[in-house]
Amino acid sequence: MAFSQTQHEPEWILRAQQGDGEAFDRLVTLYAPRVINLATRYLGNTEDAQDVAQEAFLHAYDALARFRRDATFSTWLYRIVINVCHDELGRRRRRPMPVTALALEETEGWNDTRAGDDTTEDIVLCRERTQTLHALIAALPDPFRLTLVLYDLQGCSYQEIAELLHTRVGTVKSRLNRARNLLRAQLATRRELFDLEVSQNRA
Amino acid sequence: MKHAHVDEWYTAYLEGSLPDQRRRDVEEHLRACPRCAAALAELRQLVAQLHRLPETVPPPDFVATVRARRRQRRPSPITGWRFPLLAGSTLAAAAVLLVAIHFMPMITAPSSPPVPAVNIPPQPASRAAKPAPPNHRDVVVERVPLNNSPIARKVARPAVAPPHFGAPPVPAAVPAPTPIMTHTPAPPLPISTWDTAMAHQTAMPAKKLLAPAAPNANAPQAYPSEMAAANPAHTDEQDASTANQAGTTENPRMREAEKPAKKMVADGKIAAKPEDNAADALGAGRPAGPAGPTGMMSTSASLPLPASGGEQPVVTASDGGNIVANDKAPAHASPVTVLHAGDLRTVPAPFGPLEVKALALPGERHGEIVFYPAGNHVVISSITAEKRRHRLDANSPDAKDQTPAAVADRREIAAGVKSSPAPSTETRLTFPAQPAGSVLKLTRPGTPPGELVLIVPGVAPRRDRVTLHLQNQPVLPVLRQLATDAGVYLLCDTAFAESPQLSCTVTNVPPLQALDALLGAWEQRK
Repeated sequence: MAFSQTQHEPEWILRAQQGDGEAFDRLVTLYAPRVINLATRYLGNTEDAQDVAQEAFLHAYDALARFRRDATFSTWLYRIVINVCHDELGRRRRRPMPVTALALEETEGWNDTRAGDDTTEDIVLCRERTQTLHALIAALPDPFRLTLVLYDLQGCSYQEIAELLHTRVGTVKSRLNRARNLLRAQLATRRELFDLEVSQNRA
Repeated sequence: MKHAHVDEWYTAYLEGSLPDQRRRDVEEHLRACPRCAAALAELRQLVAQLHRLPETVPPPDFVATVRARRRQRRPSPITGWRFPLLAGSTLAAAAVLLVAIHFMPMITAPSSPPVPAVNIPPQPASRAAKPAPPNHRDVVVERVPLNNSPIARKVARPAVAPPHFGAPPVPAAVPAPTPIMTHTPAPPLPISTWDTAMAHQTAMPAKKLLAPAAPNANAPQAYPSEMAAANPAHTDEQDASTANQAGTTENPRMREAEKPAKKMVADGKIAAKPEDNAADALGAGRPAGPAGPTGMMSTSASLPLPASGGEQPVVTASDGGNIVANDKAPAHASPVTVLHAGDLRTVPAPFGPLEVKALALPGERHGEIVFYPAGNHVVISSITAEKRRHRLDANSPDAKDQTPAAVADRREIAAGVKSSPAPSTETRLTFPAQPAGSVLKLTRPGTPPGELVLIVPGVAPRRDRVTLHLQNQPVLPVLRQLATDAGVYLLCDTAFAESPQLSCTVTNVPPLQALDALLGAWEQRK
């Protein structure tokens, strides 16, 4: 259970700061899902995200001695992940790639935990929705995308996001609303995938 | 304001964090502007879709890869500052130091305390995996058969203290729930234990154990008016059969690995030891059950549904239709402002994949909840309550939160109207895995009894499209059917779920869309 892991977190952090590689491995195990999810959703594809997640953990290991506990470990770690993501996005800007196509292609590997219980049609439709949604998120302008990913997909609070992005809570809220509206406008062009409207003619 | 579109307030409106005047302006605008009303509905669905996005799972070798790269490329935080010293040393001294560093783990390892093994949780969701505070508040779970079933009467026993498990019960949670329907046609039955459900099981013929056959899973399913009408015979049968299915039949969505244990039921035979099976389904609630999270529950065979066309409960017109007996709900608990503010999550075995949709959470402005398994229990954790607690905690940075909701909360707490949530607590609803098709009333500490209704999907096949014709009829039977068709749990405001009279017609739509229509009808009825 998650609780039995995280109650040891402070101890692991302390020991990792003292150079205990095993304790750091435990922190990696604990945070890998969240870090990979954040990177995947922010960058829009899984392969880059895994590289970025690895890089972020290595940065964290180097910087661990400077972790002062004035923020939670997760906030501190997320900040590193976001910085590494920004580096990656900067590299991409220098050699532009079609983000939407990339996201569609790469999300093939997404692990859809619900797929096993639905009909084939459900699975196909669900996968298509998921891919489309990821592609559309990946195409959102940056500050809005990151805010939406952190709030709606990572479950961060407004306050946490404000700390992470060095901005005010009000700014976070307005960015989130803007991001959702942008995404909604994009989704409206894909109504056949997302039951956003009553469609009585479909069988 | 009334004529300008209200795009910029959508999120705040959905979260219920708008100041009263602004909220009224937005609502007024929404009534007059189909464009904004449609956009808001889309936004609600978008948020639900976002929360349902699957998680990526780290590759199995992720930790090993990071470890290898770390060892290959990086000095540890300790050696990181030792290396400059090395640079100034002689080669021999460096060699000695390196050897010492190399063996240091072997030397120091025995003195360090063993670290418990780490297992990555089964990925319910990142939010679901959040740590649970050790001391959460207890919850009453009340089991509510849909009707005053003769079987239930037959097996009902004199009042028995509800089974307790885990930590000692909280006194506030002990009293029997207050019936919220003031016009109950029959006197409520005494509170009984889970044995009631077990007795149902033994009393029913074998065929009742089988899931009802669906003619065509893909055919649109019409909900005729007689189905929605309270029909005692129909409901009795349905109740008993679902209670049975719950304990013994296999849920079609249950994982393959769990099927053998349930096979004899699938063959249409009565289980040899129904009590044992019932104990399987409900077992964690029994005192001898495995130690689960702290919690307590009572079961009740009371609270029948209102008959269609019968005497109606008094419903206030201004507060979203809260039933008068339930009027202790906070003023901002209008189910309308929080409809669809829920979260969909998948819960892995042993419960089978459960999807939960929170429709209306009274008193929860953000209304975001998660379900996750813990031992033999299912836990509903109100993340919103957690956030709210965080916001109110004097030590929390969120304590400076000046949103109207936070300010109102603090004012009410200061005035003694509302009790301050204790730090390090979390509002959780904990109960054993529930029979398919059952309806539960949930009561959280400090809230009116039976504030929420949880509807567990039945075992009948799901249907992609449904047709709904409801004319001044009760909502609950329809909600049960929709929950089954959509394969989702529904967690509703009791006032909505027990709404005795609602008219709504939709044709050939997905079940959850029919649900939206019902909610729309509920909103309009005000």
